Amino acid sequence: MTTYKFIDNSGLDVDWDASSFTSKNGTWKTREGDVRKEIYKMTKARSNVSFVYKESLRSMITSFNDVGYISSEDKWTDIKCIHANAERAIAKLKQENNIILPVLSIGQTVSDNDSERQKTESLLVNEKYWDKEKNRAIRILSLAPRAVNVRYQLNIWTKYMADMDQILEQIRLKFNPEMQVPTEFSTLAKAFLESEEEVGQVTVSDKEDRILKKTMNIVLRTYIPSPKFLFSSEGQITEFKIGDTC
Amino acid sequence: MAKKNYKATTKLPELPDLDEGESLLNLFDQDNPDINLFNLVDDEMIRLAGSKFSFYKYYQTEEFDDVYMESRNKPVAKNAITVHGHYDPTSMSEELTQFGIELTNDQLFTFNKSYIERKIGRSVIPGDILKPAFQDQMYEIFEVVEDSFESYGVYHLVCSAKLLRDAPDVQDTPLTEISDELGGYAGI
Repeated sequence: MTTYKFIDNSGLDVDWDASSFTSKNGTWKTREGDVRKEIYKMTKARSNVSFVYKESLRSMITSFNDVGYISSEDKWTDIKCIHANAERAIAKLKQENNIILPVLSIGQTVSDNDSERQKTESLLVNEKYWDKEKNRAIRILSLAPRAVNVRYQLNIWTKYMADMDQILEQIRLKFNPEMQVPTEFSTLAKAFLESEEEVGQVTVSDKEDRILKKTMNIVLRTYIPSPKFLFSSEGQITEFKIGDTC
Repeated sequence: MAKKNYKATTKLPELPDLDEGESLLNLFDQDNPDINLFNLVDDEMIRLAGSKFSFYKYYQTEEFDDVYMESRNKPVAKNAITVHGHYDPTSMSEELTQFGIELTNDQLFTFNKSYIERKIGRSVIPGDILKPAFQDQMYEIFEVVEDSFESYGVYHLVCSAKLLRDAPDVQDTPLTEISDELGGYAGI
């Protein structure tokens, strides 16, 4: 039988105030700490703009550009997918886009933090790339990317229910259960279909016709990348942009 | 207060049997020649105040999707019949929506019933397409109601129409073997 021996801690001082002591962790010199401090110093506001929202939107529009429908004459017809939030002056130029139905549009609505995927800020991300020109591997360091969920609304407008149902099944099949949304920043970003809303009207008053419009709410789980830095074998840290050669 | 009782002493004559014959004063008289007069006046008013339209007849068939109860392949005449009608031209509404600038221009078109039925060989039906001579836009009629019941005569057909949003090949290609019926009016 196991016997336990309890320590008598009656002599220990347990009432001390931890906040009255200064931590010495910050003064401990480590290579990782130096690199992190250097990266903090080199990070400027302008290098924080990666255009990830724009590229994600571009990729989302592209993802739905292959949707079409089979016409009553068994002919495949492509459908245009456009950005849903155009400036009026530019939308005017393209106003013929929605004269002929069906039409698809996609627009970004809101984005929020994803607490499940978030990393601590001080985490250093170490990536390796192969430089074909120099024929050697390079090391890229960055702080942790920010995990965000970007929400989009995919709008569908058709004249006939037969077209609407064909479009819906193609869109549903793209999310099985997720849809890859590749960008230059990530090939792993995934979009999920959250819900579907009826926007048009089926019950209409006298002298009005039915409107077949639907909105599908999509959430894209992606990351906003932190600025990246090239970490040479000599220990030098320089700013690095995707597409740069070292 | 005294209670008043009135007692009629005069006996009224018997009323004639009203159902037996029509009175000359009846307003409801479908043989009244004034109805045709009003109809001609109405037609002339529409011609004077209205404008020309290109009228593309929809050849209604029994071939439609019986699940969705809609027809994506409406056979529409390629050649237009020129008709006269009246409408209030309004500027195109250009709302900026999630589909870009959404051009909408729902219109009411008024035709003299007798005239248009004679001209196109039948009444106006939902699915017919109109193109006003004044505007370079095509409208699809989706509702037709009879209007103007003066003197128990039906003179107007009021057609609710919206911008045609079918593909251009649907508008331009004759989808039927039925030849276009070019109508005439008053022997013209």
